[in-house]
Amino acid sequence: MNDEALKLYRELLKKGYIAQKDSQALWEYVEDADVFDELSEMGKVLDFDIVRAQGRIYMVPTQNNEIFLKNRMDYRADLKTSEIRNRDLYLFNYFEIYLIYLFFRGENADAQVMTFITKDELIKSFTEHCKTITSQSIDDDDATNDYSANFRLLAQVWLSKKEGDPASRKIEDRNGILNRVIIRLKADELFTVTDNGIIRPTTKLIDLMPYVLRKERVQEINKWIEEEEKNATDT
Amino acid sequence: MLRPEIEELLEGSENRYKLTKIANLISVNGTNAPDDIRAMFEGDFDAVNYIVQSTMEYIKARTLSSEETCRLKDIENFLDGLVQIYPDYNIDTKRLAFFVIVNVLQNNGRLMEYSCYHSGEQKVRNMTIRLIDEVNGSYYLTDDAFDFLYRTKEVARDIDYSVTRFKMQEYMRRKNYSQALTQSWDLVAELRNMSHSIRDFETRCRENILKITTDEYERIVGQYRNLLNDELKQLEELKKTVEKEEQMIREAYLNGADTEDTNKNLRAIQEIIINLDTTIVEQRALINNKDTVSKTYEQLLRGSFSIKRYERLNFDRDIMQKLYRLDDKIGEAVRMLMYPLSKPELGKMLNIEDLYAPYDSIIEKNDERGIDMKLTDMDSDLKATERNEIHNEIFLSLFTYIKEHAPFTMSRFIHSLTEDELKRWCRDGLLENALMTLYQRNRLDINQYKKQRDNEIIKEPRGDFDILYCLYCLPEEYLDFGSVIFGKSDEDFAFTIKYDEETVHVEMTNITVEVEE
Repeated sequence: MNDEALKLYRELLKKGYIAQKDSQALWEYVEDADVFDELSEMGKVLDFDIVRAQGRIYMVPTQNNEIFLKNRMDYRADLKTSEIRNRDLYLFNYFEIYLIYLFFRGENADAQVMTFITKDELIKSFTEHCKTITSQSIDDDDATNDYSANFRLLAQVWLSKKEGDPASRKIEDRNGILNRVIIRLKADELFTVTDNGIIRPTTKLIDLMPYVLRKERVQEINKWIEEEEKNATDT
Repeated sequence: MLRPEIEELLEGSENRYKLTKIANLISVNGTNAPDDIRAMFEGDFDAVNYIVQSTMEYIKARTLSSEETCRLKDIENFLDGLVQIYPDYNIDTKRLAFFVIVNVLQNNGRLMEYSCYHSGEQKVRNMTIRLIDEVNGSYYLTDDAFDFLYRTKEVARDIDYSVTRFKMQEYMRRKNYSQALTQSWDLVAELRNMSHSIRDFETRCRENILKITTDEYERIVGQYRNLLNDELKQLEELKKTVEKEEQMIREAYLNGADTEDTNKNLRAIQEIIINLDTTIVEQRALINNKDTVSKTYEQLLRGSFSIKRYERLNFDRDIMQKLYRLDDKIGEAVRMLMYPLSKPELGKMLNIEDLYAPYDSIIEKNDERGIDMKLTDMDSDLKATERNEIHNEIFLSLFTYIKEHAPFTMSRFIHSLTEDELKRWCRDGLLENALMTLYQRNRLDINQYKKQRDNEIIKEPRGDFDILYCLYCLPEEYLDFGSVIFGKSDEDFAFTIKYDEETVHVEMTNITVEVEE
């Protein structure tokens, strides 16, 4: 076992990445091809990938990594509430992916189409999105998208919430949900927010999105959906 | 293939088209203006557009001056001064500054993408524009925005650094000191513009080297290579000439030529010397910086070869549309999709709370599938919400009284309440319980609370009296003191509440309430 690779591994366990500007000494190990290869080999056994970006490397858990991955309880803990109902939890989860989608939905050369969004714009945009979902009839064959009944309910849950105070953290209002989601995302170092409500993706998120959106994941996603559907029919 | 005459005609047209797109981008009109801005200017978009353009000028001037930073607050100050030219409108400059910067110049965070024929590559390709960058809360114009401002300022404006230096030399030779002084200021501004352009380039390289083309590298870094070294020599020569000139005027002055003109010339020359000094010093720094930027560029470019490129799926088709169709498991699906973004969570393996996690999951079991909208769930929530509301009302009322009357004893506060308030708040003993909890707490440290509030999520209680949550719901103006102290007094007091069917008699210690700044 290569000592340098182990040192990199230990450092990566702390916050998930190593930045060149934080430690030039460690970065020299990263630039050593033998050390880097050894670290990547460790990943195959310990279920993580090493993703390299400009001036940083990231340790990313693979799907079967039960040690690093967040489960339901971790998510609740991140949202700082154990008493949230499932319908709200789903809304939190979906709101989170919608935010990432807004930033990285580009189909041209660059996936990132926005550099920031204000809280007001985000609420407006998500509300419009939910209105589109609920306005589409279930039997409408010409509809742009096919929304499940539960997905419509999720949109209704959002639309039934009042705007709330901009600083709110109540689950009962839209600002509260947004603020809690942002706190959760900040904990994973994915977004930052300024005092005047400007939300920006971090370098970490920008660096990792090409990996998250890599084409080979389509099979992984489809397989997961098939399994879930099969489980649902079996039970 | 294009015919040669058309190819020749289109050469460099992408740069011209970029200016047209920038002009479009900064135009506010009836379709893209928010309602409050429209109302503020009563639909006069010329005024709004003029303000946007002037703000760009201001950012340029401020960031090129020795101040170097330009924060939102500075822009507000600038607008406070500028809006005097529109006395008929009632303008909120704080809102206006945010609108100009965030909504217009930053295009709400969206990259401005357009397609255009690129004469160098001889094909239509996608390009982007960014007008301002934000670094640590300060705004800077990008190279594109600078270019736009320079090219639109005056038709006859000569933006060439060498030409400016040459003009200055000529004015000095003709002893036209006031024109030479103007040229010396331009020299400083243009040099700072170059230095800004290099800094902007470096920032963009650091953000993503893959977006930088070699053309751009050549344009930004290469063009200064020879120019700056040659210019530095010329400037040093020029400075010697000016210093000689100053010496001559000074001697004339000492020999009795004390005219108003001599004084004026002397002042102009002294200022020219300061400007030349600044230019020479900053130019040397720029030459050094240019070399550093070249090295950084090469280093980043070398590193970029080890970054793996991925072919990208279609976010909308391959992820979002699949999510829409999932009937339940939406939460799990999102987590499945986003797991690569999780941080390593080793702490949870060693966390004592997780020993109890299985109990929680048993409780959740019935709630596992679909979106549960049970009425009973909603009912119990309503009750909790109502209790939370009452606790908040009690707190608001108590803190209003503290703000106006502290120090006091609790009996005075109770007697200030209306009968309706007492009936509502005492029905489940909520008021008595809240006051006794405060008394047991003895001291509410407001400063401590504020720190706590900024660092953690304050959870909404399920109907229990939660001091933190009540403080969190209070408007900020009620929290402008250090601590509130709830103390014991020797006396008790009592009050009675009459409901339709019963009368409730409450006896309690007459708590004292004091405030510490």
